Amino acid sequence: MNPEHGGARIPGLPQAGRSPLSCRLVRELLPEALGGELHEEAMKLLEDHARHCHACGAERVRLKEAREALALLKEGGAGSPSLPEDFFRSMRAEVLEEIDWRRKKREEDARIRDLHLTRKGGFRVLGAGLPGIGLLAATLLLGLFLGRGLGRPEAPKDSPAGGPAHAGGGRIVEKSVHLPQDTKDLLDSKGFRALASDPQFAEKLRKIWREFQDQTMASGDDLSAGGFDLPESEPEGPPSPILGNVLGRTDF
Amino acid sequence: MESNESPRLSRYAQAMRAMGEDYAGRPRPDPAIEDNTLIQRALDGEMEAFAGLMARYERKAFWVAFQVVGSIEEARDLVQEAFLRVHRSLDRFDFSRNFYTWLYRIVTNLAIDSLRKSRNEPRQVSGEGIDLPDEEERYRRTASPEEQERAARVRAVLDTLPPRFRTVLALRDLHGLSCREIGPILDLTYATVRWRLHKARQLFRLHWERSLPKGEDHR
Repeated sequence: MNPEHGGARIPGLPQAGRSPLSCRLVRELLPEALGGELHEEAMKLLEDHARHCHACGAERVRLKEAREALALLKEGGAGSPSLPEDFFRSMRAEVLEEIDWRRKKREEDARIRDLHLTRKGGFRVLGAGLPGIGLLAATLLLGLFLGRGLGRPEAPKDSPAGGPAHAGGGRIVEKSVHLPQDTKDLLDSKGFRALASDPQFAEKLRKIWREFQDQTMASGDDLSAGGFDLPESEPEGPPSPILGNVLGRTDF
Repeated sequence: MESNESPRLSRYAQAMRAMGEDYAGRPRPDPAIEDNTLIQRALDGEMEAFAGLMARYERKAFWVAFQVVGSIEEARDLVQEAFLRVHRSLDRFDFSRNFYTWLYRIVTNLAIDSLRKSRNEPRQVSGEGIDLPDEEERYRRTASPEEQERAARVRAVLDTLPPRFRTVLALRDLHGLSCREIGPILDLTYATVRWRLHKARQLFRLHWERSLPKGEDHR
């Protein structure tokens, strides 16, 4: 029983007599009322109730205090920091600089990518970085090794050449070289073709190939058993569509 | 004024002034230029237009972030990250929606994530005043010791609330956004925002009254 209103009442239901609202409902709605989130009519009823009901009036005071305390954290309140005048300008400038930097980096990355993938007047990739070329050459050599290893069991024992016969003995025939598919893909890629079409790079690659041959021969390994032949003389026929541009001698 | 600017700031000073700023450096963007116009110009590669968008919303975004995370440096980082994300995703902006809703959504999500990450490192708030970290002491507002103590308690109480309640309280009671505006920001229905706000206020009031020294019912 609420002594402020007098008489018995059912909790949650409007109080008969002074206010059509129950204390429970009023207290539920007080936060919204203080936030100005109720209709004008409901606000009037609540105010009226709180004026006459001591308990609800006290509740409203406490709620208002909590609300005012929270407001200390609003911009400009005692609980908010005092920011220097250039705070936001410097914050903005840093963001704009970061955007600018990222844009430039994207453009630079795209430029480098284009250099690797497209042919633009001469062999600029050489200038772009030797590590890339080294990686390419290493991939090629690794592919050759793997190809040899994979091809060995298939090599006929009675044939020192291993792979299919060929005229001249010096021409590399694609069928006689067992390269992994990814190496073939690499050799056949647009970027590699662009590289291979450059005389300087081809010469470098040819040199690497010769060194590789020399080292392998010096170690006593028989490359021919691996399924491909060593070029010994000028090729007579057209080069392999894949390797011809790189290791053959007629296209450079 | 130009001579007082650092080289980094002067780089954009002209653009800032073109977008409108008062002498104190506070943004004063031309209200006649709508957000969508600025966004379209930014999409066309005009950095000045994006700077104008930032100038328009950076302050509000910062205060939302600060009121949720309670740290100036963290709020600054969050807002900067939010604008970088906005710029990166600007081409996906839905022009039928409000820009600030999108921005606030990113800011509040970043703030909530940040709170979750630092959940195991609660802020230490003393009763001696606003307990700002050492590097943030320079931002301390000159207020009476009583006010500072009271503000510190409020901050401490707010920090005890779960992030989802803290966010809705900050957006509504500290920022004055309507529940209809908060809904899309927090990806909640209007009814859920109302319920969450009600609960947040109850929780805040409960913790606030518990934080008061014994016998102190009023200011």
